[in-house]
Amino acid sequence: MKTRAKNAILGRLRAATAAGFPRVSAPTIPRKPGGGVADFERFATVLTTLGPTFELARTPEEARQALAAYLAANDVKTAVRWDHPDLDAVSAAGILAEAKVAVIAPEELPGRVCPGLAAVDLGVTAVAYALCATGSLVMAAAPGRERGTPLVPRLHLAFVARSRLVPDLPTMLERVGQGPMPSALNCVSGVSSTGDIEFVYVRGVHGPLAVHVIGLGWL
Amino acid sequence: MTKTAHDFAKASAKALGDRQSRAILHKAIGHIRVLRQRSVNAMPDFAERQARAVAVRDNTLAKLPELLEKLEASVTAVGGRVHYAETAASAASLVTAILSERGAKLVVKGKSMVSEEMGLNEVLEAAGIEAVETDLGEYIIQLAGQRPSHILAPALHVSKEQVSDLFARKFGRTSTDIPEMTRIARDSLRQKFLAADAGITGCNIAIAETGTVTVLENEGNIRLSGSCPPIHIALMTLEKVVETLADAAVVLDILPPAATGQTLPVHLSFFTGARREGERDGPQEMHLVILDNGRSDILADPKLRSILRCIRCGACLNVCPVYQSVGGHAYGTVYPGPMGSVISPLLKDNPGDPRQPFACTHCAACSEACPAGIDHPALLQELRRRVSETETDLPVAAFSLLARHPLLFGGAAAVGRLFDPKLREVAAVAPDAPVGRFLRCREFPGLARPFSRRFKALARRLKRLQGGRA
Repeated sequence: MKTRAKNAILGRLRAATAAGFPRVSAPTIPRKPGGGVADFERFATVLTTLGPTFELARTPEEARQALAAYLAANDVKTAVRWDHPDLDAVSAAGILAEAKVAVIAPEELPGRVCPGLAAVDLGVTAVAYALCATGSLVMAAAPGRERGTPLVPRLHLAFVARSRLVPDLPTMLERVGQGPMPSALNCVSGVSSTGDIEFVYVRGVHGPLAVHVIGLGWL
Repeated sequence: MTKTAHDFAKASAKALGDRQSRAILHKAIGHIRVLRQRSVNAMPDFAERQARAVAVRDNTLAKLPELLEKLEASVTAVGGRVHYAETAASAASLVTAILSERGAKLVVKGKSMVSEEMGLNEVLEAAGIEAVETDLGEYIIQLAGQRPSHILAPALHVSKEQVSDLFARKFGRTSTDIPEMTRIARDSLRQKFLAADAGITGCNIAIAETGTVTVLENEGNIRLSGSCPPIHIALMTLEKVVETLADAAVVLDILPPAATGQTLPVHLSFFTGARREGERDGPQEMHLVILDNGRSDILADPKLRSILRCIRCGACLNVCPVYQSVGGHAYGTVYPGPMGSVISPLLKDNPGDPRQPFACTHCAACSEACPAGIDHPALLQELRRRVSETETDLPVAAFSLLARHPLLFGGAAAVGRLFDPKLREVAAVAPDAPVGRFLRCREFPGLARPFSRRFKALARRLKRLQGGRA
């Protein structure tokens, strides 16, 4: 039955595209090579107009201080974090422990991760890429890098290393295409929003209500 | 005129009388247009982006069967399953079967026009599966028991007061403050996301080489639907595929600016198969349903196939004077506005009123706004031609007869001039006869003195005017 539908549909499509189907005369016009800028200034300017907040840490010590200050300012009691070298570079686990934040270790997460994160205050992640033209955080799912971490808790804190900055989306997709696609690649530009009631713009529909980014200037 | 369940002319007459909805629609659409224009103005290379996108869409259509097979192979390779459906109804039963076999009771849905085309919610409900729409606009529409009126902003026609009353009835908790109402919906939907057995989403672009389902949204409900529940079912129509990530980038270059005036939406998600080994979340099962419902026949139709370039940005709706006047519901179909008037009559299930292509003024604002280079008025003209081939339009046939016989024309005009010079009486006497229907929705300047009698005076006047100028 299923194969029958497939065969019928593909059969019709093959017949439709067989002889005489107009071929596109001009090949796809190549996109101009991405000559856009990739620096924290540009990234932060766009990012902060979309809702998230940004601060730049020039040294590991500054990054640790920034994290500690953020935890205190936002009354963070519980957190979940990714297993990622950029987090290790700022000893994020150590700072969270010093601040007496209860961190759910990945192996302690229940069978269904999202409900287990619903009451958690903060999700801490790094990024695979950050897009300067659009202020976007690009996160790739992987073992130890749950999709729920930047999505379900009340707050999201992302560490963005300088080396993760790329000019724009096409540049990012070109790099991503050089390896296998992760199961989920999320490109997030700003804070969840809607205009569904009378086109009035409201931020914080689903996902975290606030996003903070700490740039790692030396990494 | 063919008898159909939906009569566009009657529904639009009713919609035109609804001043409140028209005012809301007008305001909202004006807002989207400003955003779009601002965004396009900020992109000096928009025309170039558009040309690239048209080339990608045309290349895709030329290779469609090959790309779908490639897509299936890629999706299968990353642990997903691909299902084909000939019609909307068979797609809905297919999805229901997947869910029933796995004992799913609660499903969260991201906004998907394909799901609307399939009438999926009703079918799921009949199978005892609760399907919750999670896009705020779509959720409002579902709570109110209505249908979307715009492909991007489904609750565009609903006022905040109506939403407030609706929430009071459904949740026993409400507000008149829009951010607060949004918060109420968030709280209610969050419980559903966390408890759902499956998530159903649409698919803006499917990427053949990687087996990726790409979705664009601002709220995050689709990201949640594709990330939290143990099963993810993505729905697409067969033309939504592109070959490579680079091709997807080309479409992504124009889709958000044309749709909402954004460079990128808040959430752009690339879902590739089910969760991988060692991953603790993401769906354990991923299904991709590919729907035809008449589209393979459209591809075989050289005069109409360019409608398959459509990327569902909604730009043509936002500039259409007919859509802006009557709103989405009057069309009685899933897809309203210019793209809807072309595609709806060509669908196998739920094609709507075959005379929908006649609801067009040929102003061509749609084709000008279309980032995929679709010439909607030309396609609508072709559909009209086909309708007129299969059915005789009495008033037009009568006019044709008169126009071909000058004496007859003169006689008929003389009678009309004597008894009903404005042609209003005929419409009033027989409002439901073909001629009455034709005249009812048209305003005539009235039958003046015959031109043959006025000719001499007009010629003298012309001569005088010309002489005066010389």
